[in-house]
Parts: sequence; structure tokens; C-alpha cells
Amino acid sequence: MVLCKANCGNKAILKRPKTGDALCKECFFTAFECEIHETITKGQLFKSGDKVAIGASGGKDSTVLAYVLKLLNERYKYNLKIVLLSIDEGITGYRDDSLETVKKNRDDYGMELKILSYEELYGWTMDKVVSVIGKTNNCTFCGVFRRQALDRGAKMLEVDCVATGHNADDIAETVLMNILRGDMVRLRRCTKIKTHSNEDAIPRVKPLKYTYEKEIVMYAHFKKLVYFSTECIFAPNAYRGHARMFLKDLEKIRPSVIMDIIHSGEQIQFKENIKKPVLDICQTCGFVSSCQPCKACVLLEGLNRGLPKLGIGKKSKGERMIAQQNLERIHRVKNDF
Amino acid sequence: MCSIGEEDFGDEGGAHAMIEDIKSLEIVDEICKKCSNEKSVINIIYAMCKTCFLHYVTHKFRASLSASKIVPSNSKVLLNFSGYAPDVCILDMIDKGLLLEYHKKLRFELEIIYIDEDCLNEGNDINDLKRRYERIDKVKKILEQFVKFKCHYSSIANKYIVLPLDDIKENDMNAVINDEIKLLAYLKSLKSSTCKQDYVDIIRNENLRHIANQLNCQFVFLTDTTIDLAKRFISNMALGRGSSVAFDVSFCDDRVKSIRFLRPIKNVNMIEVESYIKLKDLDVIGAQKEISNTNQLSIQNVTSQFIDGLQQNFSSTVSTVARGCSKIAPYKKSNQSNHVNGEISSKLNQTSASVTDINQRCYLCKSFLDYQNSETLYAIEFSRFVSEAAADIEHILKNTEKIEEKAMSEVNSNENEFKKHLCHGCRNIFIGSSDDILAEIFQ
Ligand SMILES: [Zn+2]
Ligand SMILES: [Zn+2]
Ligand SMILES: [Zn+2]
Ligand SMILES: [Zn+2]
Repeated sequence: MVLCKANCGNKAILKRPKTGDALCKECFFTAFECEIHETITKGQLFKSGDKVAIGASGGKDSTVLAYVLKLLNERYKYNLKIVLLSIDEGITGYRDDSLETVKKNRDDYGMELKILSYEELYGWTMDKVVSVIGKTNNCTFCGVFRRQALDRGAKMLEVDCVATGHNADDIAETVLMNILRGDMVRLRRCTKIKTHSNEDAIPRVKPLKYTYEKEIVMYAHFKKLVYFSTECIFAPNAYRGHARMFLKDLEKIRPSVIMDIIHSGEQIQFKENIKKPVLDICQTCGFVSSCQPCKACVLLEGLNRGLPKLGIGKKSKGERMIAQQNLERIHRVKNDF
Repeated sequence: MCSIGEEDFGDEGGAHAMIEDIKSLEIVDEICKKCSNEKSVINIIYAMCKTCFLHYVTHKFRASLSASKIVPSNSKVLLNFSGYAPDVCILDMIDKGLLLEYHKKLRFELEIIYIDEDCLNEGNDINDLKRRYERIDKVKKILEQFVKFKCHYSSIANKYIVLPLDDIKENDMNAVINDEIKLLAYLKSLKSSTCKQDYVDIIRNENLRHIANQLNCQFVFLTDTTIDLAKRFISNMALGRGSSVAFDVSFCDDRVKSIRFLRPIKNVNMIEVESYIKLKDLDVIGAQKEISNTNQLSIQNVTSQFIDGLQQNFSSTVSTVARGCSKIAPYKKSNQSNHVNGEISSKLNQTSASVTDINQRCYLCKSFLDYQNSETLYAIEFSRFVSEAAADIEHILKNTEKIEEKAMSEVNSNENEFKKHLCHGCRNIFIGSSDDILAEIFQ
């Protein structure tokens, strides 16, 4: 029998992947919560009096985040007002079920919940998008729309920051993925615990940055938290899938590899000539973007014009497509007379 | 939860999608697109004849040297040679380049080092001198295909032994066996295959520098190709070597100014290398240098298999990773703006400033020390101490500052004179080993 490392006399029930220490259930809860508290205070993620929106998907990460933030807020008197912000992508059989979980969180934790749907924001549900474009590029639409939807929701709720459930595994995986696709700009950014897209934008924070996915699952399990655990029914992203399986293989060899990759991602230096994106306000929709018009607006225009491939490929290709269509329109107009 | 994060989408949208290869290396009777004269023999970016293809590969090699202008005329260069396809490919290009007429002639002097790593492969009997000699004899035969270069022999186990390769006899290898036994014993004390391989990579570099110095060479040519860079980029990231990975994948590794490592064929891929060897009908030991003990699970081996898998079906991803290597820098910018959030960095900086300055190097790998302001390493140490104290939450609440201090002191290694001089990646080599094992490297 392995005893708890904390010398409480209890039997250990898990071995912590980050350090290899074995802990009993109660000590695990304490250590898990204290670490997140440490991450929050040392990273200065919140200020007293802040209104914080949790990007709530109903999945294990955001469910644990909501539970722990509520608990720490009370234990350490952060003086935060915590609300839940959910995005309804309009995916039948996936999001409608997970939203039920979020509603249960709302009731259990007594937090206000705001649900924003793609349908009300963009006039398109993901079901409808997929019916037009098929299942090859739908994750692009979903990702781009969600990113902006969270910004919009945060603005509506007038919050000071949005806390997302990204855990250590997610961040390590994103580091690998950005290397696989040669995206040095995102490689630089993805390990940051707090991101401001620009000075006016509402910051995003990742209180679970140093928390292993395995521990999040264990915590939710032992605390009997209700979460939704089905993967999105639409095709998963090939890069994510590859990067994830590779990371799991590495983790089996050396569990600390996740922290090592995050450390590496933070330490890596870039040549001066790598262009940094200039973040600005999209002139069409008014939200933060690094290009004009923003990605969400381009994708939306493509959908509405019946050119759903617009914005999926290279920018120039999209511009050619628009020019082509405009040209055809002029022709048609001319021929009408 | 949907696994797609917002980091997944750049301004290019889904242009990032992984592109599967179109297998069209086969050549239908076509005329060379370059000279529009000869019949093509290969289809790399377009159909090329033999002459144009060889020129194309040679150009990549020579362009990397001339663009960098790092190697002055009459320098002495040491080539790390083990007889595999990339080694033979680069040697052939140098061999031909030295014979060219005036303005195209390569202007450096080349010597060759063969480092014997036979002992590292666990299946090998180091006392089987006959087998070992056969291998060396094979390398000698391969070298006979070229102009006579000065060739040297050394063992991974002893950098002080440098012998003329030509004169090596079966019994000469007795001289290195004792050192090899010592090295193997040391490797055995490291706790995993990952640690062992990482350690060997470091001593190989160390040996190369030492030997180059002894032979008065200012430069060492390494024969890494595109796929080697991709593998090393990712495995070094996974080993926690993000701060120094740029040295290990760049054209020029100048972490030690007096002996610079160059990678002149880093933009040449394995298909090109193998085609070059085939078209010129050159003799080699094998296609790619095999890593010792590939059957063992290690970060390096699993990464290597992962990249080999990508190479099979998504070869453009491998080139993308390799291209990424040229976008990272080994040197820190003067103003450290990496970790501005949080008080921890400033605290860590304060406590460490007196101990180490930013340019201080790792004793083992000679890269910059990288632990001083790492919030991530701090989080690991904090986790360790908070686990120990987790039985009593009141105690933690009252002693948070003490725990934080202990964690910071651990990151900065205030208690351990040895660890203080190692970067995070090198500290990882000694995970689970006793301090005596660590102390040995400082002797
Ligand atoms: Zn316990
Ligand atoms: Zn817009
Ligand atoms: Zn030709
Ligand atoms: Zn080092």
C-alpha cells in the first residue's frame, strides 16, 4: 500500500503526473485547489471587484474551473463576481445536451448564465453551415465564430475578463501544433497565461494553465461534478488529433513532458523579423482582429454569398473569388438591359 | 468539449489544414524542365535530368555556405562522418567543389572525423573486435571513393584518443574498450533511455568541439538534413530545451564561438539525398544514421517515429517544421519582455540576479541558463511542496510565503551547487539519479 505523501496516514489514491507524488483523496483536493490559487495570485489574473465570465462549455475543464473558482473566491475572498458565458453553436445532439449541463452548473453554483447562439449572432447554426460546406472545414467556421462570440458575450455582460478552461495538456498540445504548422506568431502567444488582444479588449486568462488534464478528470470524478464528455460530432481537426496522440505517447514515457513543453514554449526566442500581427478593430463588425475585415466577417460573407470556401484558403484566393463574383454580377446587370 | 481552440485559426483560416501528399514522384517520359534538353530522371519540384538535379542539390549546399559567408577562405573544416547517405552526399559535393576551377572552387581545407559509437548499441559486443573492425573497414572503403582527405578515428567514450583512421588495426580498438565500459556504466546510472540518449547527444557535441580544437579546425560540418531538424526541433522542445533549441537546429551553432557547428545540407531532404546517392552510384553504410536502441521507448525515439510517420503521408508538414527552425533565435533579446505578467518574475529575477547573470552558460550543453524566471518551473516546485503539506490546509494558509520561498529556491537551485550550473533540459538528464552521479560530470 502506498501512503499519502503528505503524511496524513491515509492510503494514496493517485500519483500526481506533474511531480510523481502520491496523495490521498483529501490531500489531493487541497493541493489541487492551492495550486490553482497560487497560479491566480502569482499571475495576477484578477483584481478585487472584478466581474469574471467563465467560458462554459459543459465539459470537464470549464465545469471544474467554475467549481474551483467559486470555492477559491469564497475561501480566499477574491471578491469576484463570477458569471457563466456559453456559446451555442447550434449543433444538434452535441451542444444542446452540453448546454443542459451548463444550466445545471448555473443552478448548482448560483451563477448567472448567458447563452449566445451563432444563430442570433451570425444568422447561421453550425448544423446549417455543415449542410452547406460539408465536414471538411467546419471547424474553421466554428473556431473563428466562437472566438468572436466570446468577445461579444464578454462585452454584453460587461465583464473585466474571461476565464477559459485551457489546461496544461491543451497548452502543450497547442505548442506542438503550432510547430507542426510553422505558426511562430501563435507559438509565441499560446503559452501566455493572460492574453490581451489589444488594450481595449477584454483579457482572457487561463487559471488551469498548470493543471494536468488527468487531475481535472480525477477532481471532477471524486467531487462528483456533472459534466458533458462527448466529443463534437463533427470531424475532429487532423492537426489536433495528431498532436494529441503524439503528446499522449510522450506523456506515457515522461509525465513531466507537458510542463517541459510549456517551459520550452515560453523560453523559445524568435528572430526579430518575424512579423507580429497588428491587432485592430474590424471595420465591419467592430471586434478585435488582425486583418480587415476580420476572419469571422469574411467567413460570414462567404456563407451569405454562397461562396462558403471564402476565407478558408489563402487570402488572395478569397479576394480573387470575390472579384470574380463581382465581375459576374456586373456582367449579369449589363446583360439585363 | 470541442477540442478546437482559438489558437487553431490564423489569418489564413483553414489554410493550415494538413495536406496529404500527392504521390507523383514517378517520371513519365518527360524532358527536363530546367534545360529543356535532356530526358528527366527525377521529379522533385519539376522533372529534372541527372545533371540538373545534381546541380540543384549542390546549389542548395553551396548557397547555404555562400549566403552565410561564415567560412572564410583557407579555414579548416572538420566533417563529422559516419558513412551514411547524407555524410557521403555532402562529402561528394565538397570533393567535387574543391576540384572546380578558380571562382567556383570551395576554399577551405577539409578533414574527416569518424566517431565510433558502436558501444552505445546494447545488442553489440564491444569485445568483438573483428566485427567492429569490419565496420571501420567499410567506412574506409566508402572514403576511398573520394580524394584523399585526412581522416581521423575517435570513440564516443574518449575524446582524447584521436588516431589516423587509415592506420587503425583490429587491436587498436583495445585502447578504447576500457573507456567504453566506463561510459556504459555511467549511462546505466541515468534513469531512462530518454536521459541516456540526451546525455550522449551532449557528449558527442562536446567531443566534436574538443577534437576540432585539437585538429585546429574552426568549423565542424554536421550532416543534418531537413527531417533531422524537424525531429530535433520537436524532441528538444519535449525535453524542455526550448531556450537552446535554436542552436541545435540552426545553420550555425555558435554557442561556443571558437568552434562553430554548421549544417550546410539542412535544406536538403532525404529523398534528395537518396536520389543523389543513387544517381551517382555512391557506396554508403545505410540511408539514415540509425539512433542506437530504437526499440526503447524514449522521447527522442517516439518523436522520431512520429516525424517518420508524417514524412510518409504529410511530408509538407515535415518541411514546415524544418522551416520553422529558421524563424527561431538562439540569443535572448537584451530586454527580457517574455514574462511580464505577475510578480513572480520580478521576484525570481531579484533573487537570481545576484547568483547568475543572463549570459551564464549551462555547464553541460553550453547554452544559456533558462530557469531563472520560469513561472512554469516554479509551478512544478510549488506543486511538490504543496503536496507535502496538503494534510493541513491551515498550515498552508499560514505558511504560504515560506512554501513559495522554498519553491523559488528550488527553481534557482540555491541548495544545490551542481544544478545551479545546469539548464532545465540538462537537469532533466539527472531526474531520479543521485547527486553523486550528477557530481561526476563536474570532475
Ligand atoms: Zn493525505
Ligand atoms: Zn468583423
Ligand atoms: Zn536538365
Ligand atoms: Zn544544458
